[in-house]
Amino acid sequence: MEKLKIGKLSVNDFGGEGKNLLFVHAFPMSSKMWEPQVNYFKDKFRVVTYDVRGLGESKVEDYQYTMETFADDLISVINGLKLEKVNAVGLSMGGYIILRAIGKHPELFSSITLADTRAERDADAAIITRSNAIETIKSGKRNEYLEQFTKNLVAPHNFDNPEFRNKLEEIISGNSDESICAAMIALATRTNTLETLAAYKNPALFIVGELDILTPPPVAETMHSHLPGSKLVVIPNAGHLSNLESPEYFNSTIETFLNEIKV
Amino acid sequence: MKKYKINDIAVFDYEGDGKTLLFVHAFPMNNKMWYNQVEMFRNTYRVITYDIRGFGKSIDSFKNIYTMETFANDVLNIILSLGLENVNICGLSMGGYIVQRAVLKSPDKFASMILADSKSERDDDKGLISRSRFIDRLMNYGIGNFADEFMKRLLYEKNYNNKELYRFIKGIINEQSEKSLAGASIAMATRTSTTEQLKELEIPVLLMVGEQDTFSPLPNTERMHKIIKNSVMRIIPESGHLTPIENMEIFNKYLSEFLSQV
Repeated sequence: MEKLKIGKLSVNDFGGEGKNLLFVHAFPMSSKMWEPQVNYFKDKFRVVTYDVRGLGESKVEDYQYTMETFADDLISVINGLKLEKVNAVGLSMGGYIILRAIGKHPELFSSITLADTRAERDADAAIITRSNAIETIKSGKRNEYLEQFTKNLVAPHNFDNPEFRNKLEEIISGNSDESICAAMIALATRTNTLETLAAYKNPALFIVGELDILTPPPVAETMHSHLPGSKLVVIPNAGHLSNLESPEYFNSTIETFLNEIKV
Repeated sequence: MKKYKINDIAVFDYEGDGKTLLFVHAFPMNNKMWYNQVEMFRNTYRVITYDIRGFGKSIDSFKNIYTMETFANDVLNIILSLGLENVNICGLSMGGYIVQRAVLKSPDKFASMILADSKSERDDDKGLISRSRFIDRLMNYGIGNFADEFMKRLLYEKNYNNKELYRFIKGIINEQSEKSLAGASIAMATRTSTTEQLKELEIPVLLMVGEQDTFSPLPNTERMHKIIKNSVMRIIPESGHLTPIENMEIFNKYLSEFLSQV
């Protein structure tokens, strides 16, 4: 694996023969959350992961991020590695980033896999909730916020599994209070992308955890119904973090999809 | 005049006798934009101004990471800390966004609301993207790169060509850091729509708008006037977006008339 910097972004290029498979991670995680996918796909594809601005090892300390910056960053990773075209996989925030990026440069994407995400922007109530979360973190109660957030993030049996929780904690702990808050605000600055999605021409796969309460199955259904020819797979017994909660199912779903579309 | 620091926020209390009149400034200015209003009202009202988080002397202690909600909470915190009651609150543009949210969160603290050159709608998708472009430009090229162009759009042509007025405004703009303006731009992008809640508002409201305002043009104010039960609308002639500076006589006259009836 080669670790490189594109601008301030920390990019992991696992090499590998074959087509490009680029993963975009969720909030408030880092590229480390893709470990089960990297291990599974690195000998089959040229796998690339990166840390979204401010998170993981992509330290950007002005803390002024918008969804637009995040989308521009994804495009700069694709162009920086001269990948030409990628099969992009994004989960939650990673999905928002891909959804905005395909609106700007659809020609860079051979296929998109969007897991546990949505194409609608934040409703007013969601923005107020985010603002309140920022106040909680600012007042030194980061752990309180993360505990509550994790409860919504994963299925109950994973929330109660100490080993799983430790793994999550290890990924999240690398992110400072400031970077978590700045990324949370960037989420609130995103636009509606449902029309962008409806205009997308290449293969698309939607994945959603059956027990996802942040972006539940009907939300995936909405995206699926806007894009004729797209596929929707519901992963049983998984919450919002479906790639970590059911890695085998998640991986085989993507592999089947990529094989079928002969990318 | 007394100065306070309240949770990062620099507050200026002119201590006049009478009802409280709190001013909330516009982007990318600071408390100084209310100079003409402070001079006019400081003897008959308890006039208070402050610098919004990140602006002027209000240095943010959390890296300029904030939302519109933070800005609204700061207003309520000033009111709470100074023990103010029955506040008449006046905000221009971004100040108006902050005022609306603060008033709607705690309506019982306020006697009246004055909005100038503001709107109740949140940013649409196009607005969000153009804010991001603006932030890129700000961080890469600095305030100097946009100040003149911004002022050209902000002001009525005749006022843009008034050297004294131009210098006054530019001087205030130059007191803000790029980072604070980026932070505030993002905060504006995170604002919610206040349209539905304004329909329920009971306190007297004065809505003012510059006749030549292109940032928050007349229709935005007309829409608010239509939905707010107890509202008066005044159009300020020969003024763009910065009505209290561009036509202070008329702005102050309407404000004074309104306040005397509250």
